Amino acid sequence: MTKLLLIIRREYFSRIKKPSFILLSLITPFFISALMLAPMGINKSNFTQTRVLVFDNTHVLGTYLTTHDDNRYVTYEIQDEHADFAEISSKYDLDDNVLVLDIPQNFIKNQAPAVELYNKNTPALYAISKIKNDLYDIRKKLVVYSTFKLNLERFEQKMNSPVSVIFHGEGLNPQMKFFVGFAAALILYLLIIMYGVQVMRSVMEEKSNRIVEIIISSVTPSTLMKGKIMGVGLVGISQFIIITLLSTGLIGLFSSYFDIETGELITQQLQMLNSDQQQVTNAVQDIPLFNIELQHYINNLSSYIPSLLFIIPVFFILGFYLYASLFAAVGSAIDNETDTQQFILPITIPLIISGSIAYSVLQHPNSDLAFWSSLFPFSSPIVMPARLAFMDLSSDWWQIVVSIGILLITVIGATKLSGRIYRTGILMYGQKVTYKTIWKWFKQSN
Amino acid sequence: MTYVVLAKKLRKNFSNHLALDNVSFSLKKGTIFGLLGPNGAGKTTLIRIINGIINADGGSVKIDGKEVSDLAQLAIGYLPEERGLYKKMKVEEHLIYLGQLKNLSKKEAKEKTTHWLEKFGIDSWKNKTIEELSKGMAQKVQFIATVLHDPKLLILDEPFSGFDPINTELIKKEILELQEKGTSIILSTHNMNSVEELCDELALLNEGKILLQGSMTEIKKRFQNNQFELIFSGNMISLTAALWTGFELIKHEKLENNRLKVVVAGTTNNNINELLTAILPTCKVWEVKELIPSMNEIFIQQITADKQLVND
Repeated sequence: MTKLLLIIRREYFSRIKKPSFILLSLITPFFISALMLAPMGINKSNFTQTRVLVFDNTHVLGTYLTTHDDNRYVTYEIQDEHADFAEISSKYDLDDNVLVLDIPQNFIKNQAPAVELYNKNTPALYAISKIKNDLYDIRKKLVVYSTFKLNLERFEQKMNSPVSVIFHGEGLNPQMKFFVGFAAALILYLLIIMYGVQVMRSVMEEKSNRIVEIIISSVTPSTLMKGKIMGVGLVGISQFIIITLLSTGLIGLFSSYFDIETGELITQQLQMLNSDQQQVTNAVQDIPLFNIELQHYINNLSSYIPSLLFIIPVFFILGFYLYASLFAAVGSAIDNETDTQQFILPITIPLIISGSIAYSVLQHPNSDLAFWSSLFPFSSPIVMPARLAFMDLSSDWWQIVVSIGILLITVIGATKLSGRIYRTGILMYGQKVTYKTIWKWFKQSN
Repeated sequence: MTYVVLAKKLRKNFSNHLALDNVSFSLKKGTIFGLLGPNGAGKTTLIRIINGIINADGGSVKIDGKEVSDLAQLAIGYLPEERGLYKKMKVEEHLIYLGQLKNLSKKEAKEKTTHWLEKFGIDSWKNKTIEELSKGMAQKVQFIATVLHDPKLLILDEPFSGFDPINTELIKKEILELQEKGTSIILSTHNMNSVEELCDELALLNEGKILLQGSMTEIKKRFQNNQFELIFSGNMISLTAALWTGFELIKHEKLENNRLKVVVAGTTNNNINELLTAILPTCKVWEVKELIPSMNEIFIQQITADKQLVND
C-alpha cells in the first residue's frame, strides 16, 4: 500500500510540476472565458450609444418616439422646428454615433412610408433596425387609432404579459437537462481520452528510459500500473477542478469588469434578429423571459447535485480506470509512438462511438439505445452521465447500480488482462509487436 | 547452512523456447558469483526469476531462506543490464524515491543518499536532473540506487558497461568492499577479466543449461592441462633429448638474443620441478611457468564444445 502511494505520489507530483501542466491549467480558463464572453463582449462594443436627431415634419411622431421605448443604446432628440436641417446633417455626417432622421410630413398617411437617415459613415445596423421598428410601431398605433378608434397602446398594456407555461415535470427543465447531460458526457470523454493517452505515454517513457526493470524489482508490475493509472487520473481531476474554478472566476471577473449585462445584450440581439420578420411582436420584447428561466434553471439544478457529486465521479473513476488500463497495455507493448496507431484504434473507436451515442441519447433519453448503451461497459462511462439528468433517480436507480456493477466487473477483468500484457510487454525491448505477439505474452504471463 | 540464494531445478519456458532447463545453484554469504554465458543463454531470465520479476515454471528459489516475495525483494539490490532513470527527476530526489520503494524511511533514504553521494564525490550533483548528467555520471547514480538499502544480495548485470576504465576500477573497488562487509553478489558479465579478478565462484550457462559450475580455482585446475612455457638459451636438440623421458614438445619459437620459447606438456602427471630437473643440465633457463587457461579460453572452449555436441 505504501509503495502504491509512493508511485501515485511520484506520478502525480512529477506531472503537476511540469511547466506544460501549469501552463495548460492557467491558459485554458482564459480561452474558455474568452470563448464564452467574446461574443457578448463584441456585441457590447457594437452597441454604442447612438443619438438620433429627429426632424419631425409630422409634428406628432416625434413626441411618441421619445417616450416610446426605453433603450439604453438609442436615444431620440427632437430638433427644434427652426433648426437648420442642412447645417446639422452636415455637422454630424461623419459621426458614427449620431444619426440625423428626417421624417416627411406625409409619413403617416403614405401607403409606402419612408424616412431619410443621414450619415456618411457606417452607422450601427442595430440602430437602423431599431429606428425602423419604432417608426413602424408608432405608425401602426396611429393608423389603427385613426381607422378603428382603438387605442393600441392601452390594448398592449393590458396584454402585456406573455402566456407562461409552468413546468411541472420532475427535476431539471428539459433544456437544462440537455445542457447538463452534454457537458457531463463531453467532459468525461475528454478526460478519459486525454489522460488515458497520458498513461500510455508514461508507460512507454518508463520502458524506453529502461527504468521499469529497476522499479519492478521493488514493486509488482500490477502495483506500478495501478499507481500510474491512479496518479495520472488524479492529475486529470486536479486539472479539471483548477480549470473549472478559474474559468468561473474569470468569467465573473470579466463580465463585471466590462459591465456586460448578459440578459440585456441577449434581448438586444433577439430584437435585432427578429426585427425584419416579426416587427409586430416588437412591443412585448422587453419582458425578461430569459432571466426568469435562468433563475428557474438554477433553482432546479440543486436536484442534480447528487448525480454531480456521487454518480458522475464513480463513472469517471471506473471509466478512466477501464480505458487507462487498456492504454497502459498498449504503452507496454511498444517502444515508440509511431507504432501506437494500430493498437490505439480499437480503444478509441468505442470511445468515439460512445461520444456520438451520448449526443443522440440527449435527444432521446428514454430510447432503447440509451438504455442499453448506458449499461454496456465500454460506453456507459460516457452515455450514463449524459442520461443522468433525464433520469428519475427514485425509480431508475437500479439502472445506475446495474451499470456500475457491470462496469466494475469489466474494470477488474480489463485490469487483469492488461496487467498480463503489461508485465511481459514492459520487459520486451526492440521487438516488432503484432496482435499475435501480444496474445503470446498474454498466454505466457503468469 | 543458510544460503543467500538457493535455486533448485529452475525451469522457464517462453512459448516454444526453453529458456531455463533444470538450473540449480547456491550462493553463500560474502561470495561473488559469476554468471557467465553467451547472449541468449538464459542469464537475464535466471536473474529476473531470482528477483521475482518473472515466475519460474518449475523448481524453487529461496532468497536468504525465504521464498521469492515482496519481502525477499527487499533483500536484493538489482542493477539490470537495460537500465535507466527518470530523466526529469533530480539526483537526490530520485535516489530517495528508489530507496523508499525498498522500504527505507524518507529520512534513512536521505541520509544514505548523502553518504553515497559524498563517498563517490558527487555531492554537488544532487540537485541536477538526470538528463543533465553524462552517461557515466548516470551509471554512478544507478549503482548508488542499487546499493542504497544495504542489500544482502546484489545482482549486477553487466555492471561495467558504459564506464570508463577509471570508473570501472572505482566500481570494482566498491564491489570488493561490499563483499568484505558480507554482501553476496551475482555478477553477470561478458567481461572475463573482471570475472577472473572478482569472482569466487561461477556458473557457465548455455542454452538454458549449466555447463560448468564451481569455484574459480577448482574450475581453472580442472582445465589446466599440465603444460609449461619455458624461455631458455641453449641447444634445441639437447633440450629435446632431455625432455624425452617425461615431456613432449608442443611448439617452439625463436626470440631475440638467441633465446628460445617452447611450450611443453607432461606426458604423465609431471610437475614443474621435474621439468626443471630434466632440462637444467642442458640449457640456461630464463623463465618458466605453468600454463593455466584463462576464463576466456575456458568459456570459448566449453561453448564451442557444447555447440558441437548439439550439432552432432
